[in-house]
Amino acid sequence: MTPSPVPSTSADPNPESSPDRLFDQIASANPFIDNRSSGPSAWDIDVANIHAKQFERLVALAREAQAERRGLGVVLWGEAGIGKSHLLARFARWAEQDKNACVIYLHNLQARPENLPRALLKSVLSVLTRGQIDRFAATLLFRLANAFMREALQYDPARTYSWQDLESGYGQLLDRLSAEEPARAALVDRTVYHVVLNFFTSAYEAREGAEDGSVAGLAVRWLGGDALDPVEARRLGLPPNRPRDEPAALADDQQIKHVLAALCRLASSRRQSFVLCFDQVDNLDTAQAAALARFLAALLDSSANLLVVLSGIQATLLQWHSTKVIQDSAWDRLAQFQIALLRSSVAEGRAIVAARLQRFFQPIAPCETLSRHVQDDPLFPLGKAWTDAFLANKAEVRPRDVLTWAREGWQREQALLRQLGGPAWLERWGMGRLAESTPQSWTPQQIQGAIDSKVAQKVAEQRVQREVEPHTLPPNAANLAGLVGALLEQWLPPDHQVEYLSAPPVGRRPAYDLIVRQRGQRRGEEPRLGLLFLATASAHSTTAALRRLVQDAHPPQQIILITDERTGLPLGRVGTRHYQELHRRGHQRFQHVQITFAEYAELDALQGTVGLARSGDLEIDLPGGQPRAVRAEEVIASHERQGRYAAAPILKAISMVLATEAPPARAALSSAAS
Amino acid sequence: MASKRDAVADLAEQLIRQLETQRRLGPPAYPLTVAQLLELAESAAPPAQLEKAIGKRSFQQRVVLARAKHRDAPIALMTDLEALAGSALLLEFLLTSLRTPSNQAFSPSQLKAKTARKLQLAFQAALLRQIEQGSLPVNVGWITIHRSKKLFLLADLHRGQQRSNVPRTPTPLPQIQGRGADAPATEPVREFAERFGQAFAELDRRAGGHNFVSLVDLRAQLSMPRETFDTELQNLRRAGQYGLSAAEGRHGLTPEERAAAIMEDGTSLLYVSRKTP
Repeated sequence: MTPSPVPSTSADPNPESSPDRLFDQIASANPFIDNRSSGPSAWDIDVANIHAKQFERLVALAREAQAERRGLGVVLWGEAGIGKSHLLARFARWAEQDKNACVIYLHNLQARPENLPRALLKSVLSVLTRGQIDRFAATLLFRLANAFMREALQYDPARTYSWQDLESGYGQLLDRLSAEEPARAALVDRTVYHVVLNFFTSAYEAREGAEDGSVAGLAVRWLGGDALDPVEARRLGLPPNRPRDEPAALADDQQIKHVLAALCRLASSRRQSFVLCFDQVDNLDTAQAAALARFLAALLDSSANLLVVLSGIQATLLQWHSTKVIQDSAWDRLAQFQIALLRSSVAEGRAIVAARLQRFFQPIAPCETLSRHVQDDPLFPLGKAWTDAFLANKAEVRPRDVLTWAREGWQREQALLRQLGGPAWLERWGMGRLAESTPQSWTPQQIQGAIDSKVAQKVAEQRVQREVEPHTLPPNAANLAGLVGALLEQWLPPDHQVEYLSAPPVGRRPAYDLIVRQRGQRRGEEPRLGLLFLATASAHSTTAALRRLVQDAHPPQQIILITDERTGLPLGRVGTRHYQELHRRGHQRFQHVQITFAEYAELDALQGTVGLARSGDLEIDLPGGQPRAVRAEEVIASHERQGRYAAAPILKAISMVLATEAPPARAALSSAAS
Repeated sequence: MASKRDAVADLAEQLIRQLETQRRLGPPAYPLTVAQLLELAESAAPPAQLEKAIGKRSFQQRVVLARAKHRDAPIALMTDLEALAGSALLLEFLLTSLRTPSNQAFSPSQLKAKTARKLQLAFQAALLRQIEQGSLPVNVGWITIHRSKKLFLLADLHRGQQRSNVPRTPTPLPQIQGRGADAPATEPVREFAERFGQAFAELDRRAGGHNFVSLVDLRAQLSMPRETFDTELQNLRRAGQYGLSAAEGRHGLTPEERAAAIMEDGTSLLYVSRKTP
């Protein structure tokens, strides 16, 4: 709704100082609409005194990790709406200023447990390169590598260095690193450091126009856990694979750990701590949490100069520990330090409101009417009446509640201002009376409507956030598979089962990532849909995956191949043959869906909103400004009610495929497909 | 065989590791006194060697010790200087070690002068903040004498036993403040604060020292009428000593938890955390 303007009352020659400008400003917008932080932002309105000690503790730990060259784990916990994300945003700003630390902010990881370390690494590399596929000299990864090279050369600006000087100094530095800590010598993975050197030289030469920088691109792909074709691996100088025609990739979680440990070491050369920040970690499922905890604990043991921050709800994290989802050994590393955020004092609550008001009124600061009233009451136009109504008798407050109450108070003042007109409203305000709201209670239908509207708003916000920062959602088949699996589990009727297939430690990889099967029929005879996700630039990897599909002796009735448009489907000669063979089976049996980034972001936003509810970070405002938490099940019901699953990319294609099957109990899917 | 010098260095390193372990446990296990640290380290080293380890420069650079050569002095890692400065342990140590039969109340400046130099500024700031916010430890009070605030241990306060016949309202009594200006300094409140503090510390220690104790356990431990418990707890919250947080989390609530929680603004508050160090 567009607010109606307040009738003009004066003809002030300076419009900025006119009372009308003040009335318009109040009527035009509500500075308390947004009551939660969704990630690092330069635009956050911050009150430095709030949670100042906790912030300083976080900063001290980052400094300690760097100064002592240690791996430190810290949990940042507190209830929803207490300011955890806000504090992390403040921490990210501190890191950015003066290049204090290299902070990687991660949330909404979706890969299945066995794929989490690789998906994590992929996200880290994507953040460090901002998702670029060329011109790497402008990236943070290049700056980190550059600092390491300077350390290797014991850089003297007065001297000129040759590439031979660099290679020689580089080798000596690696020798020193291995010798410094014999216990960690095995963690100085020469192959990883060799790739870092090639990345640097290629990106540097590309900046100078001496080459195209494609080797740097290969290095980024390999460091990010992607597979390279044998010819690409040779160009990057990787040791030959056995067998030689297999794609080359980081072998296992151990080597993934080595890459992350190397990144920590590069940051150390830049005198920065390397920080992995996991926000809303409590919205992972228990299997994911267990796998992530195991991997991060091992990473902390292997890395110097690393701070791992896990942020979430204290009750959930403690329950994961007490029920051994997180084993004691991992807990001791990850929760080595604990920073608790508790509710704020009423005075701090007022300070939060005052800070927002100050920012909001900045454009009309010269307005004399405004300054007079703010001088009398810093919370104008909410003022003492609002404070008495919402904050009196409170022992402590949750920052999010304060903002919700301020929003409610503001809305009431807006309504009254429109009703009375500026001068009369101001006169009434001067009498210290709070604008009243009409007391009412909501019916279940109204609550449902409010949930639908809030969920729609959050889905849109999350999607936009990903679109603004596409590097936070890199092409990643494992993440996409986990995401689609989670959404299918929420949406499909109970007679359908989603089965996740993962590669065994030894032996052939399965042909599919997910199998959707219908229960209630004899095993082997039930309708099955196989889903394979590919997001690689390696034609060899694609060929191997398609070969597994073609050679599957007992294929499901239907197969959907899902690829990311950013990587496409690279096909060599053999791969093309397999692909054509699959197509020859007919559209009923095989489909290829290429997902755009916007579609990926849409799916991520659907699940991200469920995650918000799991973390207690999704609330609606009941009449009178009382917040009500929205549960994850209510978000899922809203997605279903509003047809968001049925309309979502990939899910729509899956529903159409499933709807073509004969069995009954498919009414929902058929109608969705139609 | 390791040389004596190496042995002292190893011992110093062992003490640092012990401090780090204690830090993970949080209050009340940390900060701690030097004597407690040595006891926890379970070192068989002779006292002279322990003294050397504590006096070692590399050790001193990584820790902050409230007062040198004093076994009862609190100690913490250098990174926790602020936490030590604001801890109840430090304030109680200073008041205990300074008090004599003839003088038992001290100004912030007098207390500050008896702490290690690197701790002085942070200690003074923390102390003034606690006085201002009414968040001093429950066993410490302050009173104004000749315009100067004097702090003392409540245990040193001598109280009369005879009931006063004078009506309470007309004559303002001297204000003794231990939990903040807002909290009524009546005997039942003091008693509740002490009992609550003890119960909280015990339950928290048993739960792993995460400063997160359920009202289910606290109600069971203190066993008193719900209304009294809730009112007194509210006073402690107002005084900034304890905070409540919502009963949320992925695992839901048991009926017992639901019953023990305090409803506020539509939210069930179930967990108690200590706000003062």
